[in-house]
Amino acid sequence: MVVGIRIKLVLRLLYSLIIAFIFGFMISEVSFQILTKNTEREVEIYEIKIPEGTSERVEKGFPIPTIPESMIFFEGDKIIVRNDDRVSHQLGPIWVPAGSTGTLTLEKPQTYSLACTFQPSKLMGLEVRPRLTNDIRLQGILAIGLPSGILVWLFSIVIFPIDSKKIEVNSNYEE
Amino acid sequence: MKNSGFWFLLVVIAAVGIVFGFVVERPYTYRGSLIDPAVPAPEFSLLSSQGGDYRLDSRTGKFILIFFGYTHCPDVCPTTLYEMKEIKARLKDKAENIEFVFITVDPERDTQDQLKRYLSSFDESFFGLTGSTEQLEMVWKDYGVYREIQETDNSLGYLVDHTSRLYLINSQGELMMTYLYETTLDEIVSDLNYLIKKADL
Repeated sequence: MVVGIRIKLVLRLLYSLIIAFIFGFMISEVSFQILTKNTEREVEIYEIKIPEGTSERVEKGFPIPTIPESMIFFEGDKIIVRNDDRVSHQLGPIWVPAGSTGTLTLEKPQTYSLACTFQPSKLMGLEVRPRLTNDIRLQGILAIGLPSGILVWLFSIVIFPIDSKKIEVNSNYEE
Repeated sequence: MKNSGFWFLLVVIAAVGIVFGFVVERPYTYRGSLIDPAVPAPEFSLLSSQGGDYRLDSRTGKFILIFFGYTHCPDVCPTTLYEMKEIKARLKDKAENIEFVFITVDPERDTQDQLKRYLSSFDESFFGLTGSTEQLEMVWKDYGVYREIQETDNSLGYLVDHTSRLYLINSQGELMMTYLYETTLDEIVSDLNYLIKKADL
């Protein structure tokens, strides 16, 4: 009889988890689709070139090709700065010696307000927003599915208790 | 047979765990700002807190982590030096492949003795470098270090505004990475662990 009850409980837990995971999948996917409507895109690589003579032009107050003072990126984006000038340059978080290339992969959401040697204001803002990835989708499904499954299981036991007498009768028949 | 439901459930949970736990292996991404290709680190020869001269060209074979600061600094420098000490501790045995260097932006006050006293409160193996203002101005320029004296009324005397990034030189004497002050210890340690392993030192 005890084995019969145990099997029923395990099966009920299994069904509860399946139902809860389907529920979790639906909730998570709907949220994901809504949230990624405007932000979902592939990882992008931004290449910025600092031409030769930029520092001299800055010193003399001549206009130079500039980048926006505030830029928005997403996690995983990459910034590559090619410095063809004769002195080192800093573009926010990237410092590039003369004649080299600085590469920064934006790994985490963060907001920078840093020096920029070739901006007229000498400052630049850079915002890195989080990216919604498949890992996060899976985490969302698990976060909803697992606890919900356990709750559904517990509620099912309270609302539809397992009939031990029936199991006992069945086991007697089997014997 | 009676427990087949239990075993099935166990297999389902384990499968979910495996999918969740094993993230697809990705190539390593550096946390710092990578200089690619690495460029020969600008040479310098400065007076060392450990006595004698510290010549960069004689230090190949090890990674070098450089920070520019000054001993009267009230905030960024002690924090960064504490972090350098922590990086060394977290790298354990691998730390012997790295030299930690502190170059002054305040040569007027930071003598060899002053640097030695100051650094001994963090780690005696750290190198404190100083020199004449002319010598140091070359180094600051080569490494893109911003430095400006700010007069104050307090007992510390003047303060020095300065660049707070860390510079990493590889074992071939090439400048290969910089780290922002905001970069976490874990991120720097992760890069260094990877680089030391890759360099097979």
